[in-house]
Amino acid sequence: MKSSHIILFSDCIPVKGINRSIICDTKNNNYFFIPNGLYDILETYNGKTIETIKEDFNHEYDEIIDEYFDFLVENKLVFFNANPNLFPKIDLQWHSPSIITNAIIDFDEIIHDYKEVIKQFEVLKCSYVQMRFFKTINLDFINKIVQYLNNEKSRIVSIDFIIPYNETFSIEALNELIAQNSRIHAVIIYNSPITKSYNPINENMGYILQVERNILNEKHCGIINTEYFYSNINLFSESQNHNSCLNRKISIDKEGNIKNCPSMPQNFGNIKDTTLEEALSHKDFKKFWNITKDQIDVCKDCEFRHICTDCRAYVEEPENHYSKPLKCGYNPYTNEWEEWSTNPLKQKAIKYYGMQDLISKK
Amino acid sequence: MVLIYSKDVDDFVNQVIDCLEVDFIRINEKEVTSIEEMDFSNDSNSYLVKNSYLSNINLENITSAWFNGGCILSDGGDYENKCYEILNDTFFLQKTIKKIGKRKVDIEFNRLDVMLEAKQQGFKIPHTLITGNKTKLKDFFDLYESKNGIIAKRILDSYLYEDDEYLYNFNLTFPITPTVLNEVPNEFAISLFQERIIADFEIRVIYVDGVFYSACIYNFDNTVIDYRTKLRNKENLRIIPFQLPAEIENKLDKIFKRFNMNYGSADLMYSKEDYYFLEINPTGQISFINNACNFYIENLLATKIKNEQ
Ligand code: SF4
Repeated sequence: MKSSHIILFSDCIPVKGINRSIICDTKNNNYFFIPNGLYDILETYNGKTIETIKEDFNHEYDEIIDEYFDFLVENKLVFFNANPNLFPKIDLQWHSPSIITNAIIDFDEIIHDYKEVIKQFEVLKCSYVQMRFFKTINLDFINKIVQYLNNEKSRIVSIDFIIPYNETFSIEALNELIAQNSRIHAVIIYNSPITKSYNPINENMGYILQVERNILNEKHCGIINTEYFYSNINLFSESQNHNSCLNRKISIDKEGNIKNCPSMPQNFGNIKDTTLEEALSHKDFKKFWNITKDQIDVCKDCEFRHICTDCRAYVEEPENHYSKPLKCGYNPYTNEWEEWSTNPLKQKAIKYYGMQDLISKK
Repeated sequence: MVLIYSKDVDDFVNQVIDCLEVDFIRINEKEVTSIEEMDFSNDSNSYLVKNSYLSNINLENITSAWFNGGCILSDGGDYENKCYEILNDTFFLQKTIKKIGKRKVDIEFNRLDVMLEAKQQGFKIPHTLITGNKTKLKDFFDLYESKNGIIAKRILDSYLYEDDEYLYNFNLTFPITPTVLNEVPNEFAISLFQERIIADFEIRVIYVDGVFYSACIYNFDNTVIDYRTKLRNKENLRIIPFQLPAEIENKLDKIFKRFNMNYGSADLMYSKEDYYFLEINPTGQISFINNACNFYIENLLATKIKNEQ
């Protein structure tokens, strides 16, 4: 078998960083670190025999080459076949019929007219929604929203609720609510006495997550760490030409202002007197949609750039649209993760965004 | 107006509908579509239906149709459902509009028919025995015992068979083991047996009006006979784009055309550089292939039914 041609499964896509590379397993939401040397070999020799590779290196690195390929075989990233031309690369095209693919609605003091907003989502073909509550709400309210979606046969297939912990409601009651409503993707309860995640209630849907972390406002968003990496073909291909956070996103902040993202300063009118479509037609609304990681400082050298979500709201140099996300502690030049909030080089930006409070409360 | 016949839950149908941007009516298995009237006079035809989303839809005006399983449901009983089905099918059969796919009733083939056609086209086929006799089965079993054994498959595409006591599910392909062979009575209902091919991988081909999308379904676990039974346990599978040689595509094209199909899927096996033909299906699960390979077949399908030619 091993004498045959070695082929990387085309859903396992190598991404080269400045110091090391990863192979993104887009089927299993996983990634594997590989040295840049192996990245180069895969680029040049995919579909050749191991023997050819060894020969080309004058048999000077036979052992390393064997080690490399043992690793790839073991992790089911490659297979052997005599006809490599039968296995084309996966096409990294990305399309969506939706004008808006995902939306965020923030609630604080004001309770927005969510029915009106949901009606507008229908026109925009938006199917993924996240609702964040910065003030205590009761389960009844969540129930009302979901019932409304059901009655309207809404196209929204996935809704997340991010809510503060409150002694009065029980996980059992929440369970029941989720079991009856397959549209609920996740309920995240922050400021909880414990951190705990529960098994999904409806296959792949209905996750309950309790976290101790407190979320006071939208400034808590934008954190980059490995937990938020997502290796799937949809995100991977979208990130080739679009921003991995802001593309086709619309948000309504706690005041009812229509924005690309609630954390961004620019608003395009208030839902009280502006439709989402009107806001979207503003020339600046889509300004960030096509900024890719390949254009962003530092990220462009990072091996994680196609599985990492971006943040354009909080960046290291606030005046520079192509600056690295502020809340990323990763350094692709050293391959080390550091706490971002204590980094001396970031203090100026932290002050700029008024985040000192939020950090000291950690 | 586009007509879509479909099962109730079908992700691929939803994806196509999202790309359509023209009016459509969808007829589902479990959702009532009422025939309000069919009115045929010397100067005009009209056929009005309604469902819970739309009313007063004149199907006389539909410009194209996509048949992807499903059937029409009345709010009456079995008798009325049957009437609906026949009326509806007859109506669409006479209409000369762009049609993708076919109604179940129009598909005039069975497994054997298709297999023989594939052989005619020069495909390899697994050695197949159809019998209801234990001695014959035993001989066949012995023939392949030292090789990879034999398997049993359904003959008809209706997956379920019911008698007074049991509901049989023939959907699965299963191996004939010595135990199974022992338990088989001397005479049994006619069944289809095949030599088991150990494939390098399987190939699922999706065919849309002359365009081919193929995927290699690579299984790390060679003990699995039929990957469809394992779909839920996807850990051992990889599904990646595959480029069928033009010569194989031409053969398949002839088979689809021979059975008047412009939409469907084909299952092949690739074993030691040979392509074995397994079966073709008029509908089938497309989503998992389409999504895994990033094909966006919904775009092509939507264009086809929108353009009406
Ligand atoms: S450097 Fe950029 S791409 Fe890399 S982890 Fe940080 S934010 Fe993500």
